[in-house]
Amino acid sequence: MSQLWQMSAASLVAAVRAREVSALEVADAHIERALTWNDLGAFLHLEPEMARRRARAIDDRLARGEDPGPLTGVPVALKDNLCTRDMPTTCGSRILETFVPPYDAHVVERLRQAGAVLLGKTNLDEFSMGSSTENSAFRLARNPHRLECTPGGSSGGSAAAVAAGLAPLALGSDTGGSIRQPAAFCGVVGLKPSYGLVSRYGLIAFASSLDQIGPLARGVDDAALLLEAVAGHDPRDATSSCRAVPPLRASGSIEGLRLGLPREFFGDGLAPEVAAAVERAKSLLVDQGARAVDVSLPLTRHAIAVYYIVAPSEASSNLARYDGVRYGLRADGGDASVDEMLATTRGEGFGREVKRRILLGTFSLSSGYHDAYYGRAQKVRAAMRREIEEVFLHVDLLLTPTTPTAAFGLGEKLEDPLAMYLSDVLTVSANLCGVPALSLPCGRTANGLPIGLQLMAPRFGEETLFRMARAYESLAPDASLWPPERAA
Amino acid sequence: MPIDPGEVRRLARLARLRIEADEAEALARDLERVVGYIDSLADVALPEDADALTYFSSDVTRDDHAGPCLDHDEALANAPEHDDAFFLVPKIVEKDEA
Amino acid sequence: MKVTVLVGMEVHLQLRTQSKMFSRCPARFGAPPNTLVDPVVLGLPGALPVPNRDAITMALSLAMALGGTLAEVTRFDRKNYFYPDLPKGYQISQYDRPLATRGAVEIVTREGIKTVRLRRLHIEEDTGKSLHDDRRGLSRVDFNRAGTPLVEIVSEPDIASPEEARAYLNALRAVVSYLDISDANMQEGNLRCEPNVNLHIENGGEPVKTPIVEIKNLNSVRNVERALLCEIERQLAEYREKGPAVAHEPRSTRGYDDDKDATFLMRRKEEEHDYRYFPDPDIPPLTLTEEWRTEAASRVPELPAKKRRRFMEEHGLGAYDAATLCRHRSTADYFEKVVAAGCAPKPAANWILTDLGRHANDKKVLVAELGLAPAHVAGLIGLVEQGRVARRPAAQQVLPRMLETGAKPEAIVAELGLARIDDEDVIREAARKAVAAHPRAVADYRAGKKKAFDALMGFVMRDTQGKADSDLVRSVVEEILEES
Repeated sequence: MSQLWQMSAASLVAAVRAREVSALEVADAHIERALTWNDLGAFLHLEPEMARRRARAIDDRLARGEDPGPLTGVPVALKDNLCTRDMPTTCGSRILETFVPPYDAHVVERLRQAGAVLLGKTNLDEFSMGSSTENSAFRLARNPHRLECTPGGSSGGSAAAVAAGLAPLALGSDTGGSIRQPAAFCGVVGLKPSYGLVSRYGLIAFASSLDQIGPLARGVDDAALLLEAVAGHDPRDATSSCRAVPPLRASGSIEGLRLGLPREFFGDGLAPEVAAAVERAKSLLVDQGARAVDVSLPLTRHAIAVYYIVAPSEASSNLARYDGVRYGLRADGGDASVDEMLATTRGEGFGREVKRRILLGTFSLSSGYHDAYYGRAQKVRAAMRREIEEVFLHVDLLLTPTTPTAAFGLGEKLEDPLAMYLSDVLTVSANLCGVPALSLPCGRTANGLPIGLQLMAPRFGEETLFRMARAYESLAPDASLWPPERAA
Repeated sequence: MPIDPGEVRRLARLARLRIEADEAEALARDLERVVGYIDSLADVALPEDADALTYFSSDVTRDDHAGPCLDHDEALANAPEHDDAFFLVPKIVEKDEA
Repeated sequence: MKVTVLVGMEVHLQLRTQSKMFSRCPARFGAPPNTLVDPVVLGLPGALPVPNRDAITMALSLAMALGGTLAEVTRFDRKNYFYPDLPKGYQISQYDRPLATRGAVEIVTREGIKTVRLRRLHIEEDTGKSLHDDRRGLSRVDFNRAGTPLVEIVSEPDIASPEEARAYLNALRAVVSYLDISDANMQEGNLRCEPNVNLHIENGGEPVKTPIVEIKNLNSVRNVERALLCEIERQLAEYREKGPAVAHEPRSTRGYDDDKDATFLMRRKEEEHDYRYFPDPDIPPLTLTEEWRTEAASRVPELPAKKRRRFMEEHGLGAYDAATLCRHRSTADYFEKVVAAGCAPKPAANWILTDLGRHANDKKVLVAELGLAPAHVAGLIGLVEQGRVARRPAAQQVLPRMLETGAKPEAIVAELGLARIDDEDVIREAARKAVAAHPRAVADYRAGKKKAFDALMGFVMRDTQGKADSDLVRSVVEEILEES
């Protein structure tokens, strides 16, 4: 009999609804585990009492014969860049250390409506800028599979929490890989949905045209369950799509589905173990009837340039609101004028990486460079979008590694410049083109670190994406394993 | 094309960021890399409708019906300094928008 | 020496919508500070803008009324700068895809009719307001105004005098009042104006262009005119002092001191502001479809200039009277209702502009808001024209009573006994009394003093409370004087 914290979200919902176990027991089990694993650094803020109150309320509703919703009693962890009315929302930054939003993000409202139990806010790289959660202003996060390794970033806390069983479901955000890379490093499923599928209202913005909120879970169906609960049109987000969310949990055959393998995603810099794991995954799928097709996305060579112009530009503007006037940190300036207060506040409140990106973005947008940087980069991005749309006329999905290596050590960086280059290339293309991309575990390295497989689909092609992912999962049940247990 | 420290200082001022002297040098190198990026994009062939493709949707508006607003207390709750009616800020020297 | 004055106007108009430009937060004037705010208005982390369609339709109708060329696709851009009353650290505005370009405003001055060309018209959000407390070295910020829709109208520098600037503002305000999209009141801040002015001076040799000065913080049309007047003089004086070298000085921004009647330096524009405009990624572009244009066009009524011309042609009114009637749509409509009720147009215009106008000014309302039924006004004017009531008592007694009670003019005339006296016997009686009572005046008249006759007439008019027909009085008095 598995522990409550080992159960999938779907089975927890069934058990709680059937009154086999109470929502309170489920909440207690996860809270206890979260406290035990506190040094994982997954959570910045845990709300045990609030969670228990909420769980009791759900149990009361069930007792009255009501149905609280599709996530009844399921504990959910939220990346700390999602606004929550009753919990601090710091974005991993000193500049928002004391900020408690007066409103809930759209996805938070939806979770409450679905009967979920919000456990707390997870750790992240400051303002989602980074790929190891080492840029968090508050604490380090660790990979539960090897504590001296990074869980990845920027949604490192959410991935670590789910991988270690502190919550069966978590929400993260992905601007250039920030859900998928930590999902790959921690051996869990992570999805960046199609741009516009999930409302960004209440997501603290990094790069508006790239950011998307997405689910992290230990299984494909759980990820689908969470996505269904939060996806769909929101009139408060003008970029939110009006398309109906298709059913995502139906199984289906993958016979005849064409898997494109873009050669630009398999270059030098890919660790041999990763290449081998992805090759094995491909073979399994082909054995079941999928067809592997070599494809090419030549404009991928511009992905980095485009991303490093567009993302910092939008970020420099999105972060201008942190001025110490209406909320957040205000530096103690004595007799300083408002301009001096501003520069000191932002200088003290932002970490080095955030300041660096703001300056790069300010540079790219500055009139001394004829506004042609951002505009030009966006047009090349449009060309990339066209290119991938054309490739998807010939294949149904793309299959690639999620990261070139497994998780690296805390305090380390990727040594190999080719690997560093590839790590960006593998993930940013999906954000640039607005297409959905899912990472799922496909094995481990010799020293026990998870390896991630990435699937990409055309925009709003989540149904096909989940179908293929589910098929792979059922073919390779050992691909995802629990991290080593620890002494209590 | 080398970026000089004066440029870094100008950008820091524009972005209202106080940066340390040691950061300025590394930042100048980063900015040079961005110049390299834009140069690399110079010859890419663009689709005719590139402009329209820079967004994923179009024509989203809403009607003019008023909705709820924040409670006065909620609005001021996170303010670093306020006097129960207004947000307070240190003296503004002049409206300098640069 | 030839001096040409060039003035370009930048006008910001606050639109009268229910909700703000990018969120449903209510848009109102005069609420307690920081009570009309929501996450979007305050620029809270995670908040997102969604454009107000009706605000855009209002702006489109204005663009069409001004003959502008509408964009096919219009877009919002971020204008990035730091200021405490700017919540997001950027203002959502429009840069290179504004709602409309070109267009014109027709102005009427003493010199005649002139066209001022427009450069562009776009829509943006307003900022909050800061109140400076110099004594305590701090500022108070109120965000109630933040996020309100603003239309910005930029003209070419076709305006050539302070008077033309005033006429431009009034003409623009008239169009806006006809469209009913804004109160366009400078004192209330829903119309703001920043003129840009410089001189081209030809004095033998190369023409010298003085540096352009932008004048800010003007709070009335009158002050716009006064400020321009003294700024033009100041620039001329500076040229006389410094000669052609003045052309190399930088542009600057000046304010206007009402008490001293002088402009003062606010800041020099040493470098152009770097607003780092870029298309707002949160707001997809808008296609100005045929349907939308039709909808906007349907909100454009007959406009002031056209109505003025029609009043001149159809009703035979002079240009000045027609223009004044057309300043406010409700006044023009009211005039037409009075004419439709059977009144001759020239007297109708006269009464509306003078007598009714005075009452309206006193009550600080427009003529149409006085509550006088057009049919009743037509009736009153008719009684005067037919000679049944004298003009003076009609204006000074009947009209005020109509305002008070709303009763019909005929009833009031009867009630007050103001019917014109044309009964010869009554007049004869009064004339005889006057002649008998004022022998000195009679003697003066016989001695040749014409004024004495007017005095005798005056006595008769007084005796009849001004109700007697003056022509009849004249002939009767003459008769009686002949008799004696």
